[in-house]
Amino acid sequence: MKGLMLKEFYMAWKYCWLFLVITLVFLGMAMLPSSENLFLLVYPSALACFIPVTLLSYDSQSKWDVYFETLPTSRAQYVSAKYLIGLIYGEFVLGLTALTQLLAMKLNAEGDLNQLCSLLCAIQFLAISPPALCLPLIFKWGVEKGRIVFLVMIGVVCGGSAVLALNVNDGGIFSLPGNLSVWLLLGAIVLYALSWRLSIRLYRTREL
Amino acid sequence: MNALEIRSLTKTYPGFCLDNLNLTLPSGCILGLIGENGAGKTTTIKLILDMLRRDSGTVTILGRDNQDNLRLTKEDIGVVMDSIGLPEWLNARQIGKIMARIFARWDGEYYANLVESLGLPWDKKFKDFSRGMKMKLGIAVAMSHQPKLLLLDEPTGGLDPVARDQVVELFLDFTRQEDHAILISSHIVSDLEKLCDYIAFLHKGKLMLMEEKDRLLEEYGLLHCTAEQLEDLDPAAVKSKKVTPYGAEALVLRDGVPEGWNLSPVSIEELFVYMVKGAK
Repeated sequence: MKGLMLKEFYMAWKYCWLFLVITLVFLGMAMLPSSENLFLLVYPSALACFIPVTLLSYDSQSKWDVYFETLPTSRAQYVSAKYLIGLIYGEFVLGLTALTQLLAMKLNAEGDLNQLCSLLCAIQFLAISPPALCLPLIFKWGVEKGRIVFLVMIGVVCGGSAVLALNVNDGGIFSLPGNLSVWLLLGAIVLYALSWRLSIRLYRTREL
Repeated sequence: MNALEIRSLTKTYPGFCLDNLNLTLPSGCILGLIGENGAGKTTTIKLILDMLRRDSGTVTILGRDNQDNLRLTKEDIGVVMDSIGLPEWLNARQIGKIMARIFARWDGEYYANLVESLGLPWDKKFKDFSRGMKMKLGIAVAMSHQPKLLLLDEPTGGLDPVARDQVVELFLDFTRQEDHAILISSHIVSDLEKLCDYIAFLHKGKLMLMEEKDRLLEEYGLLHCTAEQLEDLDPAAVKSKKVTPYGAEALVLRDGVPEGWNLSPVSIEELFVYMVKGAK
């Protein structure tokens, strides 16, 4: 498992360093006083959570998805490495989002900590749901077929954040009741965990 | 002990069937699996590693059933696939670090020696390697965790003659230890002729024969004669024939040919080609 995780870190750094640049640009823009665009906050997290999909695509290209089966590793470990790397990068970007928004609150002397928590819960849900829905299908049918679902999910994230952004002036996501925020966070965690388990089950029965 | 035992292994795909395959690879030996494209060589290797679900049969690796804690058994197996499969953007150094965390008995020093002796760069990305260099790195990885069994799918493909010779030497060195064994599939029959103790022919998913190489070369010969002479010969001795207006050439069992006939030694490559043609 340690070897698989190291490989994922190497690969994520090689392929996804541009994501980090985009993340910093987006989060920087979201700190501006006039910025009310939720897309700027959701998109970096969504990108980070989609890193496993990107890595699966490169595995398929280099045939690592077949080769790892010759090593003393299991399919469950292979799947878990992908979910873990998504979680690590996703939470790292969410942490960056929280930090930059806290900084913006201090610099702009506006905002509310409760509202920020609600916002982070919503971002977590929006970012984690698409890969959670998409990954089991990719593990079942492969990257090529899963790519279509991936594109649909990207649309859902963009659309979802746009809908939330439309309501910002009325309070929108910032005025989500505390309970709902917690439910969104719990929903994201449960969805990801179920997706993880389902992917292991589906991938175990797939012929490589 | 046998390093590998395959009994009645069957796998059916639409349009292909690996049919009732039986193979035995004793420890200390090299078994060459020869077959045309699509004969079932890669399918056999994937079934050994349980990457495909078999329809029936058993596979025993180093005395253990391949469905009984295969992860542990894989610590003793080194594999080179035709597609190799190492990550494109990583270099030999990074791949070594990854494998050191995957294999319990990874020997970093041996890996470093192999990388150096095979003339591979440490910091060049795998995607920038030539096909031959990629294969050499695949072989270095497969041999650096003290495996007892090597499963090699077309490992000499893409190598130049010098590199092929180097790799063949490595494999011969490997089997000097009694408890080591190699199953190797290849199109390059001349390499297998140099390396192997046993030869197996696969044709359209069926095992045509499996025999000690030296015995095959002793048993079979190429007969050069006239078409009429060939007609007089015991049909059981003739395995395959080629008749032209200028004469006949046939793959025959030496024992079935009267003394004094024009019989020449047969190479493994000729033996395979004649047998496949005979099967058609």
